[in-house]
Amino acid sequence: MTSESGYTIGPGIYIKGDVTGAEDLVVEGCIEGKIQLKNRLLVGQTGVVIAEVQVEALTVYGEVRGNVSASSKVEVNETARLVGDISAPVVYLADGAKFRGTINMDVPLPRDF
Amino acid sequence: MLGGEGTGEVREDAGLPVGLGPGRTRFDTGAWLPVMGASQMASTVIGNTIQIVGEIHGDEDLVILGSVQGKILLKENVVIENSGRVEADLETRSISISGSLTGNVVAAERIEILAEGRVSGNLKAPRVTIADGALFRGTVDMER
Repeated sequence: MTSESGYTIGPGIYIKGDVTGAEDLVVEGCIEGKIQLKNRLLVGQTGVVIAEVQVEALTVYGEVRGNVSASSKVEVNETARLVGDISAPVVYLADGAKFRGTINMDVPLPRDF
Repeated sequence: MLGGEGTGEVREDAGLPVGLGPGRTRFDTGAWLPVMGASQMASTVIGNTIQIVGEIHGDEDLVILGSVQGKILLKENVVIENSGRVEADLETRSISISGSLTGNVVAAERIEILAEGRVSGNLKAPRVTIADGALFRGTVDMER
């Protein structure tokens, strides 16, 4: 289930389109479009994600614009900015994080896509 | 890593890492290494299971282990590894292919199809190499 890899989309990279996969992904660059992962997504401090996000878990230190659906957890850290609706069984909003949208924790626990 | 940490003379060897990023990718393609190693920027890796449909723009090295469909515009170098599958038009500085590629490539410096590479498309670059064993169908244009 957990792949040991966790490749980074670097800060110099801009992707426009759909990203799907079954491994962890770290975004320090920019992705615009749609992200569908069976594993975790981490948006680093320099990362910008303007996309509909469907993942197992999302951790944000950078910026996310778009609706987020996670089967296990969404973590919005101090440095993060998130605009969009969150749907996840566990949501962590840190002190200092900027967030606008709705949070819906009324989802069944982990299920497959 | 092999040399003692105290000796400053070994430092020049440290500039030729085994992989580009933080030890995540290995490059078996020896000839390519010094060229890639020269750019000290951490490269971006599209992992094995990752599929991207759309456009990739950027100004850092890109290593593709997964699948990309669409268009790639990069100011730096692209490496398509064995497991990489790309159906895209590419514009890049240089590219090294050991996976499969369908699409047209324009490179400012060089295009390298390695022995395991499978390429269908038109290539345009001042330097083009096709290794023994590589599969290629298309045209090559080396005129500047």
